[in-house]
Amino acid sequence: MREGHEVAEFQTLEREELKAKIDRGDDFVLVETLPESAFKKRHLPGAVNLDDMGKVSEMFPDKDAEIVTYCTNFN
Amino acid sequence: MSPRAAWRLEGLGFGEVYDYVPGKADWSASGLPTEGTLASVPKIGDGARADVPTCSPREGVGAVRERVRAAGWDRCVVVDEGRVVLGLLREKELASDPETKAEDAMRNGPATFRPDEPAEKIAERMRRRGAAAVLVTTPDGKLVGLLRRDEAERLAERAASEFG
Repeated sequence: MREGHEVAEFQTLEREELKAKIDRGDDFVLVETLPESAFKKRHLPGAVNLDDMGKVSEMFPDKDAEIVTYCTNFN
Repeated sequence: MSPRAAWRLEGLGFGEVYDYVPGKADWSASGLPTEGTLASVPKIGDGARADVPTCSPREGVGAVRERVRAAGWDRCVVVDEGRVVLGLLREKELASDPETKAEDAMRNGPATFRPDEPAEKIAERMRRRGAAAVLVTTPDGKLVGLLRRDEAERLAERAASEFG
């Protein structure tokens, strides 16, 4: 890590890994970060919508929770 | 946007945060299920036949032809060990010398479409180009199945009547 630069600590997940977690029923929160309108049209199974980071504490009071985020809309 | 959210969550003290970078478009394009008001709009992945015959590039065309015809099909998709599409053997290519390897007879690089393409769009394209069938693959090229035009038309009609 270079001094003075913040580096993201989060890890990335591939499609097959995420699918396996859903199929196994792992205890985690799947979070779509797109606007609510896009979320309502189509989202991944069991996902919740977080389009405003100001809602984080209210939506996720447990900081030990495992969280998987995703975005990218359709063309 | 989601990497930024993941980074912010980490910063807020969440200990275990992951980001699925390819996201929703990749998920849907792989034919995996979604939820929401548009989740049930007919897509070509709904009508793709996963039982379309496949063969390896090293197989002889003669043996492939027998197998394909016995199964009641008129074409065969040439795939690698990971089911990634390499080419297509249509009736014309299946009629090649029986000793010819599939990789030497096949039509290279056939057009492929993702499973989440709207049925109406692809049916219209097939109609315009006179295509009898198209191949449906995941974003990384793995075969999902073969979509025949009559099935594409059926899905398009359903889309128009239910969501038009």
